[in-house]
Amino acid sequence: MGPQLPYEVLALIFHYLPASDMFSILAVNRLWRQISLMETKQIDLSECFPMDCLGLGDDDVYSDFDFVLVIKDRYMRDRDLRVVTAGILAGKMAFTEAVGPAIGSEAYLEAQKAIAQRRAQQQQQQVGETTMANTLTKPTSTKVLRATINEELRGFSRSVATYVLIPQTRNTLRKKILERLEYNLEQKEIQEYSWMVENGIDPFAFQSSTTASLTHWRTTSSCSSSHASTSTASAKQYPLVPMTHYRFQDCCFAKDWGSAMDINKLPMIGLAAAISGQGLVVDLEGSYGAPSKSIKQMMAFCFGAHCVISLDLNFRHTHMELEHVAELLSENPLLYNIDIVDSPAYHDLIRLPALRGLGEMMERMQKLCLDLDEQELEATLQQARVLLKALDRDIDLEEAERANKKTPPISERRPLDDPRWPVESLSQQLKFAEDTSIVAKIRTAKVLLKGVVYHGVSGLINTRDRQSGQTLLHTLAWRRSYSVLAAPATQPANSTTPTADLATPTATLEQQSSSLFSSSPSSSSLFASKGYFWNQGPGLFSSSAPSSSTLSEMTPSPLMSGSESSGGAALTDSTTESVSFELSMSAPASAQSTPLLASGLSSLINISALPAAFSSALSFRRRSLPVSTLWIPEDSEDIGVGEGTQPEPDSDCDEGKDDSGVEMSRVSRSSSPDNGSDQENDSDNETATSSNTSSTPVVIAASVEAQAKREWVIPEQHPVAISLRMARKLLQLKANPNVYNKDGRSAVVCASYMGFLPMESLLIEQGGYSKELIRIRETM
Amino acid sequence: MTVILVSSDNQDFKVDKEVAERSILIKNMLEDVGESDSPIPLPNVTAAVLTKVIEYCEHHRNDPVQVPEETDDPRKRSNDIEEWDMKFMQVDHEIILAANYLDIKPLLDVGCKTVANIIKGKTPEEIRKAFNIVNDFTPEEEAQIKKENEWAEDR
Repeated sequence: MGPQLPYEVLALIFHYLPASDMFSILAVNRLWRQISLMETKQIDLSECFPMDCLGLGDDDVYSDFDFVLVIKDRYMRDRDLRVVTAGILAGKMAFTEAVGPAIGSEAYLEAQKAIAQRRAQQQQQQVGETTMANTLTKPTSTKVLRATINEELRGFSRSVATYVLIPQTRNTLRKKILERLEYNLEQKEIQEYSWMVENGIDPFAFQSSTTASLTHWRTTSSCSSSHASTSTASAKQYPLVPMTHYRFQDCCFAKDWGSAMDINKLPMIGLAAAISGQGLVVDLEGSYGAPSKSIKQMMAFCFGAHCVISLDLNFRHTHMELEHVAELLSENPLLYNIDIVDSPAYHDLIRLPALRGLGEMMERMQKLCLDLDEQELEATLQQARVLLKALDRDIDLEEAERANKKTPPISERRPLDDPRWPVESLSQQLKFAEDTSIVAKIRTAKVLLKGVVYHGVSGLINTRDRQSGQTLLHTLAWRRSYSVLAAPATQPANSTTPTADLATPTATLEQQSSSLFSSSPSSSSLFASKGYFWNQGPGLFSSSAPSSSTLSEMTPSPLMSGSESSGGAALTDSTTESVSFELSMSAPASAQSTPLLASGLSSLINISALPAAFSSALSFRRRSLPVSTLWIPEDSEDIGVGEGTQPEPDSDCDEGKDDSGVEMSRVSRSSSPDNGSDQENDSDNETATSSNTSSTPVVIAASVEAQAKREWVIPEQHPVAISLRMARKLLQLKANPNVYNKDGRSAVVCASYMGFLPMESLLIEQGGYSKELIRIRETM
Repeated sequence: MTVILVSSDNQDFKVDKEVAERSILIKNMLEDVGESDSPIPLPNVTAAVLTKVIEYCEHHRNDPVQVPEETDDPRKRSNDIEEWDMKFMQVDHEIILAANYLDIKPLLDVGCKTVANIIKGKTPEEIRKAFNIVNDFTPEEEAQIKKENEWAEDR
């Protein structure tokens, strides 16, 4: 073509380009790069609206956030969104127009005024800092970042996860994070986090750091237990890893209006999980349209935070490339701890002949777990190990043989259960679309098989139906988060010196894995030896629920004795009574119908009975981000109100401890799918609650004095407390037909769930939803 | 009333004043010099390009003057080029440069939209090829850019 276009013409041309092409022009040459970075109006921080100017609620509700990023075009193409995300990460805030007050309106003018004030403050701050010659003068965006960073780490992480944090570059963000972490109070731990950020994940360092951080709690605890050996073995090495539970199901990628924001947040969510010390539960089921790479990015940004990934192994609802799943499962060093949790397809899969009876074995083990038949469980587990080992070996052999032949694998039909060819067998046993190529079939079978082989143990925590599986997923997250806090309560007062319990990192890992199903340290699994530890905290069947910890140790919580009891057992006073955190799991009679659910609930309930000595330990972690606590069943017609757990929406309880179990039970999955969850069933549910409670085979053993000592109030800003308030509010709203409907619930829950206010603004824009519904978070 | 425009290669073009004044540059010059028959030199525009520019201005002589506000929309669209303009713009960049020099905003816009449409969906390498642009990034810089942008690429 002709001569080069001048700067101003190129700038004009770039304005006609969509965001999706910005990456291309950035990479053409220096001039084009400079122009695109300097001249494009899409990148402009100044047009951000302060949250309080969006008219979404009172100022104090949003006081934690500096700015809100609102993308007007909700139907932006995926690629555009990724570009926008990258723009944010690259240090610029890319957006179109704020969905806020109309230009020229009073609210708009107020917003402008607020922006001007903020700028003035920033300039003042900048001047001050320049005077102090501490820092170089930096652009406004950097100042915003700094202002955010200088907040409490928890606040910072919340900002990251929720709204706009504008890193100048990724490296700058990293640097800032490290800067902040360095000065954090939990310096020991933070330094190791920093190390992880800098050098990648080191499970041992991570384990040791998190374990060390528990030292103080253990030394200060004066718990007593009659099960010193078993409980100590399981309790001492588990890291405290609160989990952020991120569910794609609620977020409707690509095809719904929720898409615009979530895609932006993926890496931020991962990052928030990492810097806040939280883990991340990513439920990929229903992640329609979510770009694989974005999910991977999200994972990568976790910087080694504990992750639980829920996959639908049939990929019916998970829009991910097989290669990416395979990579996530077995290749990504940052994700050393991925678990596959819950999938009906998983159970279908492991029952296929190619799996050589693994399904039946898993079923048997699950039953044995519930029966607490440790001996038999151990034996079956050994069988499973042998089987999985053999599968592993045969997969490798098959792969090698196929590679040697360099021919299409299915050249001749073999028996479906041909032990020599597990991948091929499975590919023939799976149902594929007619036009699926052989290569694709083999690839799919291989991914699935490897998933089973390497993560097969997770089958033990699965249940047969999706509902309880979801509960388990949530429960798992919770147990990982908080069971460590309950664990010291199971330790005896006269136990060995707590500090002596701290094992070396290697021992820590081994013992963690070995404690999955037995208190016996010799039961380390195949998966432990492979480096896969599905449970970083006490598992559902961990030795913190020893077989000897049976009914005689179970004590009903006085908190549960009232009408709000949810049927779970609570801890007795840890200083005087022996306890088990897993009691309801082991309650055979009452747990027969839905034992795993009961386990989940009880784990939540029991939190309220934790000794006050641990409250500080709880609170040092991230205080907010209610996403870590609220779980809403995706396909329910209600907000998880289940039979047997339904209290009055606005109970009279005035203690956080009273609320905890009850309120969480409201948002937890119904323990029986057959029972109605509609509002009219609420009273029935209450009755069922009482009934369930009374039928729980527990023995009252706590003294009044012990009860008094058990008083422990969840800190107001603790995720538990926040989620409980949210749950209560949701239930209140649910009772009002004018403000509740399924879609609205889903969307608003999602909004609140993620602290995702722009979505709420979109709801307003959509109309038809009450502002009351949208303001759930106001009460939090 | 007519005015005489002189191209850079000294060719004279006699055009209606109304048409010539589509160019803000010429309009301003005419206003500056007042009533005069003096030819207006356009040293940055060749005769070939000026012919095309005049053709454009003739075609759009009755178009309303562009309202400034309309041009301030930060999110501009490039898919609204008129058919005649689209055919007209099948030329090289010189017409855009001329439009820029002569300050004919509608023509410049059409030119920019046309170029933007050419750029759309192209990789950096394709863009370089299309516009004969030299890649002046060092290999290290290029690798860095590629790395930074990798995750935003299509799956």
